[in-house]
Amino acid sequence: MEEFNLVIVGVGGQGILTLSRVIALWALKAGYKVRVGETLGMSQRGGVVQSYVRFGSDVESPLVEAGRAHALIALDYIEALRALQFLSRSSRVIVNPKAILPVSVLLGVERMPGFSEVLNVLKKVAGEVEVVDASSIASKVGLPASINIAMLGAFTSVFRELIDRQLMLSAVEEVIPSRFLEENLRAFELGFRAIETSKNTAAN
Amino acid sequence: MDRLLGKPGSRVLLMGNEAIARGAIEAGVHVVTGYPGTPSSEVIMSLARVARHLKIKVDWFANEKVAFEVALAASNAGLRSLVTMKAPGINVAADALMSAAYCGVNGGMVILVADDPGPHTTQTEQDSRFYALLTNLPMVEPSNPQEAKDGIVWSFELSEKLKLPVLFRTTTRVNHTTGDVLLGVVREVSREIRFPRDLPRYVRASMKWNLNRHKWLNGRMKLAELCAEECPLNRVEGEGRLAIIASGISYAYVVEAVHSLNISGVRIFKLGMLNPFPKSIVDSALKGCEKILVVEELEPFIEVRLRALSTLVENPPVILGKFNGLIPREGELKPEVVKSAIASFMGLAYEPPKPLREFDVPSRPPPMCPGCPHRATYYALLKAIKDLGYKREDIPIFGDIGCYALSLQKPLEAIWTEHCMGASISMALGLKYAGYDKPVVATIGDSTFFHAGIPALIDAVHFGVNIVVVILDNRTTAMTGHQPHPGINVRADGSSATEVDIVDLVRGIGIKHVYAVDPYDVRRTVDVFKKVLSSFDGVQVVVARRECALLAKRRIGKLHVIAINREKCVKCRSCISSLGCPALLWDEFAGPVIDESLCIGCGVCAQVCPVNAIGVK
Repeated sequence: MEEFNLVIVGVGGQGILTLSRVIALWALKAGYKVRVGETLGMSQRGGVVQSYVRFGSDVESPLVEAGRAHALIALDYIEALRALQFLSRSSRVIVNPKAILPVSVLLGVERMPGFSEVLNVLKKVAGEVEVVDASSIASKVGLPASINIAMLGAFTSVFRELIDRQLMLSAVEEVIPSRFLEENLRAFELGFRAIETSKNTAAN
Repeated sequence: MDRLLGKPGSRVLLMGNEAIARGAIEAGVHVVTGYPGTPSSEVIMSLARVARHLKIKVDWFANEKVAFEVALAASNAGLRSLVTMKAPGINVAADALMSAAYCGVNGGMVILVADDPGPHTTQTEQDSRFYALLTNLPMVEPSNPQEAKDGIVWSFELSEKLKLPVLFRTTTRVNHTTGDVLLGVVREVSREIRFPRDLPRYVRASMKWNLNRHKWLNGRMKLAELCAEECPLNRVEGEGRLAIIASGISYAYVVEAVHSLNISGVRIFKLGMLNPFPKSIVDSALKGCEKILVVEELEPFIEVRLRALSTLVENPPVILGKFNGLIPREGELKPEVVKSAIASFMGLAYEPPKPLREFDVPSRPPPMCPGCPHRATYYALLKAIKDLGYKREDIPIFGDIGCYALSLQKPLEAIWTEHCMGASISMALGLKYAGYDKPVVATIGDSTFFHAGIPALIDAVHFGVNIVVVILDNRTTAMTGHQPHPGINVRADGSSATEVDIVDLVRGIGIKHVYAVDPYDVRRTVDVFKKVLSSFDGVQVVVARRECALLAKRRIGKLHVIAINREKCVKCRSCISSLGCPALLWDEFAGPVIDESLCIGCGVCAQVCPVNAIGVK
């Protein structure tokens, strides 16, 4: 494979850099050349975060070219909108139907689009959209910080032809501190199954 | 095991800054110094993890000039040293840097300067490559994490060969890119610390010596021209009469664009050495090509020098880049921008995808964190100004570099300026000195105060100028990732250090009116601000001291449990509209709601509520 371009978006504090590190480590283990770029703002928490994970034989740049993402993982649906420029009809999107309210919305200065509006836009632009309620999965396993790994489970499932699940789990084990590992592995499992469930529903 | 300590020959994932740290380890570095600044900070932060194990001295210093001089002394004494800084930091260290080019070094010395095209987190898009010409020192620039590591090792060798400090220039997209890196061997460089007395070399008080050292420097740079040819970061790829010259991250965009546009007949010249230029490579481009496209971020640094060199060549090639508008001069380059430029250079059709705008995406400007003590300090300051009957536009609030600059966002909209490190105090002083007749406030963080605030405060005392100086002491350098500073009793590696007390320091320069407040105690903080804003007796200092909310949360967890009494709440929204804390949400029916996962229980909202509907347990 020449290149695979993944864009991960969300809000500072959601563990996006950890998620991109896990995927990059998996890619390294799978024998690919790897580049991870990131765009962070000035704040420690609550700002826009975009991470670009690229792997394959030909990757050199840490940025994904407009319209060339194979996949987008959005931990916050508002942030999916900010990443539309990376998408094309051959992109697959995994989106969390939850959003952290920007302060401008809290203050009533700006309007917040609802999830269904955003979903319609994503469906128009991308080839395939999977909705994975990672926030609920994370609360279910008792670790709100595990939404990143819940999304990883879903990503691994969507790209199962490319990704060896066991190898991905070994990357998770290497990156996530052992005291949080159990909850994260459960979040991964539920994220993985969320895709299977939606596939089965679609088939029925 | 720490990934910085991986076995030679193993392939590990390293961020550019970690790769620089590993390069320093492989080069057998002895002393590493710096002042935090995005995107350079992770070099020291990662080295600090392994410093004790490797017996390397790694620390943060008060500012870049101090850090530079500490590293210079170490390398003059024969050790290998690395000093790290972001672009504005090299301006702070520039005085020392100019003289260092004249005295040179003994042990290798590498200066990491991290520029920020974009800009992402920096006040200007400074192009620090010009420091190479200003100082006439060698400069190396890597394009990816592997080169960042290898380039550092080579730069140490180069520095010792030339007896000159070497500038190692990076940009955010190299510092913060993670990639697979093949590790090399770790050299054991054992050195005896000696500082031989050598007056013509180290004393800049004799103009004759200075003139001689200038000649010495230019002589060393002649030798550097030979070394530049051997820089492993230079590369020539492809064949043809058309050429693209690039360096740093631009090279990555160029190779991918050439590949994806399926171009042949073009030669790519990648420059790893920016000063002096590798002569044979540049010559072969100038003499062997008809047309050259220069792809670089920010200023036309390579392009201008290439144009100058092209005047020495018969039938010089056409040079394209910034001057004909193919490559933008502002902002960082993007893959699609470089692809468009190359397509146009080659006469190919390429239309970059148009950005999709279905509807406006709500902006998410960087907010202050939930429970941030700075939010409470600015709230109290603005309330005191209002309570005293002043209009907001009467009292300028000078800001400085740090998280508290985020107070410019709604709803506080507090600071009026953010200029450079330490400028809040000097500019407040300057406004009063010029004759401004209403109160003037300077607000500055603890780390920034140590960095560059103290000299201005001394002048304010010296001239008896009536200004209010608020030192926002959150016990850390928060914005760049919580590095210690001289006001903290720990060092970069976690070992202990002596704490310099800000209140003692301020009293020591003769300031009588010094007040320490806890910004979480809103009423007292407002009262103190009212008092200092009403005084006309020289410099007034308020030290607003409270640990950074992120550190407090990590260390202690929630401070209090905050509960909203629905019977008392009148849904006036003033908790949200006056603070803008991300942990305070609004529910259409219930009114304000606490986001338990974000709230740290600072209790400030409870003190702001006009009807006492918010309880603190």
